[in-house]
Amino acid sequence: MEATALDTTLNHYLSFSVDNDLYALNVGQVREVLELVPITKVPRMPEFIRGIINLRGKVVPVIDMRTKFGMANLDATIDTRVVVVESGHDDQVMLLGALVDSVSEVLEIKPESIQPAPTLGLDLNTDFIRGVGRHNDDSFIIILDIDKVFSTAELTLVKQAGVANAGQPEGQDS
Amino acid sequence: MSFDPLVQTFKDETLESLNDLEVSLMALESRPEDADLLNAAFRVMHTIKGSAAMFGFEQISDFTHEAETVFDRVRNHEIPVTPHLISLTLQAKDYIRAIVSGEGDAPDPAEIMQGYRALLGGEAASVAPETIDESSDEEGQAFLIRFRPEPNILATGTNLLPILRELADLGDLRTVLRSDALPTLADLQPDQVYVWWDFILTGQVSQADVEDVFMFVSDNAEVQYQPLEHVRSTDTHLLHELERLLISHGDADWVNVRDAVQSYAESHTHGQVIKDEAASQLKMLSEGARTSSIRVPTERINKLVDLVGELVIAHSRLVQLSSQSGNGDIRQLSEEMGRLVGDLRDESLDIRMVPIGTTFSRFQRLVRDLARDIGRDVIMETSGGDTELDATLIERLGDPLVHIIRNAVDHGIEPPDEREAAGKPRQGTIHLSASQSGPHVVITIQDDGHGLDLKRIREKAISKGLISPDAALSDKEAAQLIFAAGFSTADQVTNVSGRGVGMDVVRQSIHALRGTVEIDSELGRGTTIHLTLPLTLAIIEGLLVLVDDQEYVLPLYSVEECLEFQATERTTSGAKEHVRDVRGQMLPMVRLREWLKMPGDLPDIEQIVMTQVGSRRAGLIVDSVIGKHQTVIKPIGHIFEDMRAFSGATILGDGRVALILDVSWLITLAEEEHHRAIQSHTRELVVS
Repeated sequence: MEATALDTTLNHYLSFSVDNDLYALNVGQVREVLELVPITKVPRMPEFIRGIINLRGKVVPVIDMRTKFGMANLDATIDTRVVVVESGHDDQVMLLGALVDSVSEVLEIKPESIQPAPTLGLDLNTDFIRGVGRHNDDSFIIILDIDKVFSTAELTLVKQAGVANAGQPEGQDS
Repeated sequence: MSFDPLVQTFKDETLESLNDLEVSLMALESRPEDADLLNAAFRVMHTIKGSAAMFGFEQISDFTHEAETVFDRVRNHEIPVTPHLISLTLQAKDYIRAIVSGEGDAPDPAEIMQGYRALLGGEAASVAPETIDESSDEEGQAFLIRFRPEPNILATGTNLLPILRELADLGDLRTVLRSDALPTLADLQPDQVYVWWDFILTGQVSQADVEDVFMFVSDNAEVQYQPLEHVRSTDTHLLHELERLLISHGDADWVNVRDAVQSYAESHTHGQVIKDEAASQLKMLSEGARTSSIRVPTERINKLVDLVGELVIAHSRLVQLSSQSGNGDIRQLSEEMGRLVGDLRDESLDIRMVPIGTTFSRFQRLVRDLARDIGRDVIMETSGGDTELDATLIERLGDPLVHIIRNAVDHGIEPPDEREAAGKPRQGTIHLSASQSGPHVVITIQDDGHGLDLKRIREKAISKGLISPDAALSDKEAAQLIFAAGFSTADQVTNVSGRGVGMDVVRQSIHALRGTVEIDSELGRGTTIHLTLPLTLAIIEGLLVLVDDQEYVLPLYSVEECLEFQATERTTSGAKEHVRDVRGQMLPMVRLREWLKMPGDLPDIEQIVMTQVGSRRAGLIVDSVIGKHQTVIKPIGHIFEDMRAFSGATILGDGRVALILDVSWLITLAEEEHHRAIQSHTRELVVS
């Protein structure tokens, strides 16, 4: 709720857009930004998992933020990027790639400018929104909590997809 | 007693060992079955014997030899630990102590020896001296004898065995058989003698006695004698050394052998300076310890293997580029690099290979302690301990193996009374073995317990809702049920097992190592668990296949062959292929395209990749087979952990990622598909 939940030593955020909305991630959690690289699809996974990529020898899963946020899919453009983030889950630091429409600039947003996320008026489940920041005095930018974007519930879904595939190989799918 | 520093060391160490021995013996009295104490006692004897011999204290060495022999038998369960044995040994200890320290009353050694001899049942330990008296006027002679009969000596009607027996009766005979001239079985003529012997005979023998033995065959055989001066029949240690020398010095030329033995005997007889040898042996030992191996932290080796993995990937990119470039020189260089990279890969993976025997021996103790705790009589045998596995693999095998073994002891082996009633020996056996089969290691844990009660297992599974009541499972499949989470037919939960948590974790662990678990069991006879594991976790030979526009990797070691599958051969109903007749065997099949839910039409010609894991086989239908690929295995990430179909990912030459398919899982898939198809088909028949 408050700014104390954030890494207060870093007030810089990477901003990016998904379906014309602006979002931001604390730079402390962002590893790097990649141009769109070939993504190998991992079959029988929930739709928001686009697949896996090769990051200098490491295999990193990629999440499609459009799908995640419930928006329609679009073909990739030259602006499409993969934002590689570090997400801590169950004491494990995972690398994840977030597929976004475009990446803008690194902004400084002071803790004072951040307001708690409103509970109404947005289509999104607001767990993963740390807050909303003022941007250019006329628009707001949604600051995401990367650890919660890929919530435990969803990852369980992924796990279940895997387990379901393991236990009932065929015929149980709808 | 001289005050030579080396001798002083011997004295001090021996006295210390004797103290340890006394402690062990006392403890052994109340815990006669304790293997560690027995071993400790044996080691003390052995050490004292050896160092006494090294320093020339023959009496002590010979005396301790008897004790050592007895304890060796005790270790092997041939002689029981009795209070009599303990007190005999305590007396022996007192005797040695008295001799070494020069103080105190020495008990009568002859009596002690008598006691030991009786325990050994009158069988002669290897060359025991008749008495321990210092002044022995029965020293006897020693001879080196060679007896080499002509090949066709049997045609003269000579019978060789009585001659050898006669020789042996003369005294103490050490025999070395020379069999180098034996031809292969195909060339062997049974009426020819191809072997000959070198002997060392000691005893109250004269040369004339020896000549008499060979009197009637000397025309048809080469017989040579060489008296060994200064070698007394009581010099057991020296005689032992000479025998070893003979064994290693198998020269057809008598003169060489004779000279070698004689010079050795001369330089090593009683009264010579043994200390020089002791000193040089010590020197050798310390040097040897320095040169043979280095300790390296595991992380460094792992880092090395990782780097090699990266090199393999980079090289595969080079291969791709070089073939596109059309430049012959570059291509050649790339090939040469390929060979070097391949060798480097093999060598570095080899570094991490460790014999599994070290893990096995850890279990001996486990079994013994466990058996004792729960009132079973179990021993564990092992074989194939020198089979090597990747060190990281061995580490991760530890827990699953412990669990399987605990299960075997707790649930497998019956209590001794039950076993006896069933006509089995009271002592149960667990046999642990490891062997290499191609790129796999197979570890089996076999017990002769009461086996799996498949009926009860099925019932339990039904009651737990794991399978439906009318499910028709083969015995093998039913056995696999014990791996389901929460499953345990044990009526009580013991400290050890029965919680139903263990076996599924075992299976998971083995699967995480990309291995498989299979169970064979016969009610009343026992259970065998087979673990099949890949030799290495890091880099494997892969087969690259194409499904739609996506490449996948199959581990090459699971691939038997590839068959063409024409469109015309497909089932006309358009139903999924479930099974195919391959050379008379019905193989379950799965089409990857369907399973991966890829859209599009099937190509005209597909490929069936026949795969095999253990005894299970299936055909995997793919669009096409691309070729071999050096597969460096990359983990696909935490979130895909439960995705059992893929065991990892790899980087292709063009930098893209390809998923590695878990063949074992796919075979299960195919089998289940097949099963379901049969079931529904049967139902249709029944209904209609």
